[in-house]
Amino acid sequence: MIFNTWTYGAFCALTFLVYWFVSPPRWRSAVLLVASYVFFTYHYPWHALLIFGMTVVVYTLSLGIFRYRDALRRGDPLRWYQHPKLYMIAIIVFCVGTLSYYKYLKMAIASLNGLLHLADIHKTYAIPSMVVPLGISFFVFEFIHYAVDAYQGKAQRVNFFRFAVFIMYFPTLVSGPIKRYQIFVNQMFEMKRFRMEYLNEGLARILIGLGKKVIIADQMTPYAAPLLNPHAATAGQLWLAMYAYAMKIYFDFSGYSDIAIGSARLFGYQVPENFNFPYLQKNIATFWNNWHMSLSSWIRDYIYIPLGGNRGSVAFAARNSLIAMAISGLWHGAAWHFVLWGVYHGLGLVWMRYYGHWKKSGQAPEFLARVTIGTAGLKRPHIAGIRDVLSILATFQFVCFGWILFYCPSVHTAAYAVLKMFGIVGG
Amino acid sequence: MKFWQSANFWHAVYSCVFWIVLVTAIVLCSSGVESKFIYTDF
Repeated sequence: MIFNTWTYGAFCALTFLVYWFVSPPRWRSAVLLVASYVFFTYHYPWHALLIFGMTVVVYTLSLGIFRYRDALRRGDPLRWYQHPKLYMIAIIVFCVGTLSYYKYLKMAIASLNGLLHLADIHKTYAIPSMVVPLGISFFVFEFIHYAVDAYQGKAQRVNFFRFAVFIMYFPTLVSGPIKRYQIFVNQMFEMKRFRMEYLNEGLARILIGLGKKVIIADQMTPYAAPLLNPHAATAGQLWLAMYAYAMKIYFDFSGYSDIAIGSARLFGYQVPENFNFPYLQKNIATFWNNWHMSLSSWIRDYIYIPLGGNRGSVAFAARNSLIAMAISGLWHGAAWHFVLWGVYHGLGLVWMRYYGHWKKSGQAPEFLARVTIGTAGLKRPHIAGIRDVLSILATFQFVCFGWILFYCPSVHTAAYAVLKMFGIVGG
Repeated sequence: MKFWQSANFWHAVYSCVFWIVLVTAIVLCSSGVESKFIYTDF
C-alpha cells in the first residue's frame, strides 16, 4: 500500500476509527498488528509469511540473550552454547543472510559473471528473479538493533505480541523512520486516551508530507530525467537535472517521512525524525547528522562505533568512516554505483577528519580555511556571514555531485554525465 | 478590541488559507498521476 493513494487514506482512516473508538484500550495493540498485516499483505501476501517467520526466529533467539545475559552478569558458569553473544551473532547472521539472499544475490551473481567475462572464461551463472520483500532493508536493521541492545542490556524483554507490533508497525514498516525499540515499547505501555492533538498533529504532518511529494518532488521528475540517459542531453540539461534530482530526492523522502511520522502520531506514537534542514548544513558531517537521521544514527551506533569509531589514530577513524559509508551506500541499493556513492561521502568525511587534524597541527594552508567541504564545523559555530554561506553552498554542491552517482543507472553513465557536464566529452 | 482585531482571529484566518491552498495544490498537482516514493524501492 503506497502512502500517496486513496487506498491508504481510507485504510488509515478506518484503522484510526477502530483503534480509538471501537476497540477497548487493551486491544488497541492488536488492532495495530492486524492492520499492519493487512497493510503488508496488500501487495505481496507471501512476504507477510516471511516477515512473520523472521519475527518468530529473532524473538526466539533473543530469549537466549535475555536468559543468559543475566546469568552471565551474576557470574554463573555457562556452557559454550549458553553465551548471550552467540545468540546475538546468530540473529545478526540470520538477518544479514536473509537480506543478502533477497537483495544482494542478484548483484553478486551479476558481478561474478562480469569477472568471468573479463577473465575470458565462457561461463555464465543464471541470475535469480526473486522479488525483494517490501521494507526488508528497514525491518532487518530494526531486528539487528534489537538484538544488539538486548545483548548490551539496553532493551527489556516483552512478550512476542508486543515485539511483533514493534516490527510490523505499519506507518514505519516500508521505509522507516528506523525506530528504536525501547522508546517505542515504552510508548506501547502508556495506555493512552484519545486526544485531539493526535489528530491535529498527525493530519497536519500528513498533508505537509503529501504537499512535499506531490507539489514539489513529483514536478521535478522530468527535469531530473536527463541523468538517466546523459548521451541524449546537453551539458546544461545535466546541470539542471542534478539540482532537480537533489530537490526531488529531498522532498520525496522528507515528504514520505512526514506522512509516516504523521500516521504514527494519529495513533498516539512518536517515531524518530528523519530530516533537519540537511541542505543548509555547513559541512558534510553535519549534513549526515541531519539527512536520514534515523539511518545515520543506526550506522553510527551499529557499524561505525563497533568498528572502533574515532578511538585511535586519525587513519583508523578515517578507515572506519569509509567502511561505514560504503556499507550505507550498499544498503541503499544492490549496485556498484550506490557503493561508490557511499565511498564518495566517506571520502568527504575522511577529508574533513584529516583537515581537522591538520588544522590542529597548524600546518593547514590558509586558503583551505576559507571555503572547503568540511571546514565550517571546525570554526566557531556562532560566526555567521559570507564564509558560512559559502560553506553551505560548497557542501550542497558536494552532495549534489554525489546524487549523480546515486541516480544514474551505472557507474559508467554517472562518469559520462560528469564529464559531459564539464565539457570533457560529448561536445 | 474587537474579535476580528485579535491575533487569534488572524492566526485562524492564516491557518485556514494555508490549509485550503495546500490541499487545493495537492489535488491539482496529483491529478491522475501515481508515483512511487524513491525509498520504497530500497
